[in-house]
Amino acid sequence: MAYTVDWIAKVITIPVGDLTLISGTYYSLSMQDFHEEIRRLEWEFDDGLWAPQILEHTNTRLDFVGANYAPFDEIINGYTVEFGAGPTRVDLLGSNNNIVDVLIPSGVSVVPSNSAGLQVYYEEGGGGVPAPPLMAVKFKDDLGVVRTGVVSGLS
Amino acid sequence: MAIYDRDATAATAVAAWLTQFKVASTGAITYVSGSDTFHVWWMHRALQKIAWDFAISGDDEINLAKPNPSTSEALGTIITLNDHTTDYSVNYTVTATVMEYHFGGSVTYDGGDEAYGGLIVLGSVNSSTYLEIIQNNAVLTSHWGTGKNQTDANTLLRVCIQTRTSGADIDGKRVIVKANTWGDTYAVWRTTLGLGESVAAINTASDPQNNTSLGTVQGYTGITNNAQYQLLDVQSDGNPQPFYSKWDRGSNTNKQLYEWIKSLMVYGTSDTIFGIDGSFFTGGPTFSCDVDTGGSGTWISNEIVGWTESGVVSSGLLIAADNMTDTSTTKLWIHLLKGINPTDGTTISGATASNDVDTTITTYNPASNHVGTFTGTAWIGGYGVGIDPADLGVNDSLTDLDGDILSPPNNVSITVSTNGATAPHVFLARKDGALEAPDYTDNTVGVGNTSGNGTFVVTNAIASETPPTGSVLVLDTTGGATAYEELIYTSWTGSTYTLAGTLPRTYTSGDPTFTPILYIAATGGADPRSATTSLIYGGTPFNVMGWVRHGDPSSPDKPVPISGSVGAAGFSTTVQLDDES
Repeated sequence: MAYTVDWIAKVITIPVGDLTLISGTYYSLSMQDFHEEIRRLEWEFDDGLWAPQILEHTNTRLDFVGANYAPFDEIINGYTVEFGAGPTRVDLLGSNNNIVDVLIPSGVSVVPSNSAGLQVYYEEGGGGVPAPPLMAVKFKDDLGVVRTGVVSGLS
Repeated sequence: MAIYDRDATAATAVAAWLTQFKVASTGAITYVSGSDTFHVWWMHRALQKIAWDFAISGDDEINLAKPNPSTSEALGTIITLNDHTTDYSVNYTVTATVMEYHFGGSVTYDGGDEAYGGLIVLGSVNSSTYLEIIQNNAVLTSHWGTGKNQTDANTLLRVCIQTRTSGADIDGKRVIVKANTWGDTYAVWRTTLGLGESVAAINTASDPQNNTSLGTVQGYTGITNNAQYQLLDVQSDGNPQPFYSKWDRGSNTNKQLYEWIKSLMVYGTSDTIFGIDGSFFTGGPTFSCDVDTGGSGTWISNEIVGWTESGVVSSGLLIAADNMTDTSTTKLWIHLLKGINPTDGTTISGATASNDVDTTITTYNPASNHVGTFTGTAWIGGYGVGIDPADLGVNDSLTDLDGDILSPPNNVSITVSTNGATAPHVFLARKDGALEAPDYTDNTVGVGNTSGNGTFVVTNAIASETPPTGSVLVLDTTGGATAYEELIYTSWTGSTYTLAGTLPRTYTSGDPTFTPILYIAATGGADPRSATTSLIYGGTPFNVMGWVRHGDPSSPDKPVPISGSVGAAGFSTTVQLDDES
């Protein structure tokens, strides 16, 4: 099987056949497979070569100060994801991703297993309760606004 | 050698004239020896001098006892030698050799049955130039070399040309003066000689596009000319226009073609062009005429055709006929060789064909070098001169036989080059006017797009800046499509694409379509690979955007956006694809 994409409604449908059965209705999805399939669909003339990009991918960062960091997969440009009927739980393995944020609810529990890593917390509102601050930083948010925050060593 | 112009010292000029020529008692004037040249006035004055003397002197046999030798008019530029055969058995005559040493006016004798007319060629030439004089479709034997009797700085040549013999004008006293010197621009002047001295103007300049040795140019190969009426699609708009030639440079350059054509008409060679010696060719048709009442024959390209107009037997070179079957011919283009242009009702005949002139005659002054101007980078073609459209560029202009100036479109190249992947796919389209996105609806589905059709019709005319081949994408909204569908076209015109295949389904009028500029794979055996097309640039830059993607599951690459503007130079960009696996 293969994913199907409604390029107009921007809905990516992942069939059960492309998930890995763990047991019963419990499945996992290899984010490497997801990445490769999306790139193929974006590349094909009779699929989505004409359409806006679906996925922003950041490669695995290996041996960074002695640690290997998993890749990032971000669904962009308004695309959404849904799973075919059947699974009650799908574990997303192999990357940090935002699939949960763009998931079309269908009763399936999606477990992203994202790494908290080194995080940035807003001082002014949002972000939950910060971990004990280690260092103040300035950064730009998604809108390009310069904000002040602190970083936490929580991982 | 001395030149005795009209204002020379009389005593000196008359003495020199009488030394160089002999006047017999019969009146015959003959050349003796010497190289001086004389204004015709001095012939008259010398004859009057010896006819005034009481005694004959030297080799001359005329004195006061003989009848008046000559008369002069128009300040000594019209000389008439008198014929007294009846009363005195004296007829003052000249020979061709005698007249080679005269200039400045006309000399008539034998009671007007014989005449020479004066010709003065004014102007300037870039380099030493052998002027050719064509009379009655023949090149006159030159005794003037690169110039003669240059009595001032603006005079190239002054001679006397025989214009009448045995009581009949020689081709109506018409002559053509040509300057065809290698390395210089060419010049042609037509004039009619008569009494006195007639003027021709010749000016040449250094031709910067004609600086290759003649021998080298004559060695070029592969240049051809289809010398007949034909339609050429210069503007690449599917609307070909009439020309009387199609020069094809083969693998040569435009400059080489330009010099080749000039070499066919240069002085001193016997090369032919349009079927005749280049010396007789003055550049192209000198007139065209509408015709009717055809015979039952066939015109032959570049045949000699004839007609008689007002008793003047005339001939010309058939340059073009819009239809070679004379019953269907409506227009002829002719290079006059001798005689005069026909008028309404005159019958023009070839080897087998004939047509009557139908009212309208249009005259032309063709480019002296036939082809027109070559600037070094562009053609400005002479009237009706066709060049293989495949050899033309946007800066060239040709004038067709209708007189319309045509230029090829600015066919610009659109190229996206890629490095780093073996099978990248390229998408490039016009940018939406408001969004940071491609324009996904530049047209809509037209009517009549039924499954199985070999064409695809859109509502509005296809934009002129659309690649000649490519893909049109259609969104079957009515059919519930979830993606644009690619239809590959091989050509387009108006609002119709001709497809490589057939329509896979029936489309509903009004559904959105758009035509990307590039929707192809970049090809090539090694980096850089490229995706290329072309389009006719309309003159106003427009923005484009798109991307290059490589999604081979074994090693996908990070998509790379591309954007920019298509202008007069087209569009070109290179992207680097980076492995994402």
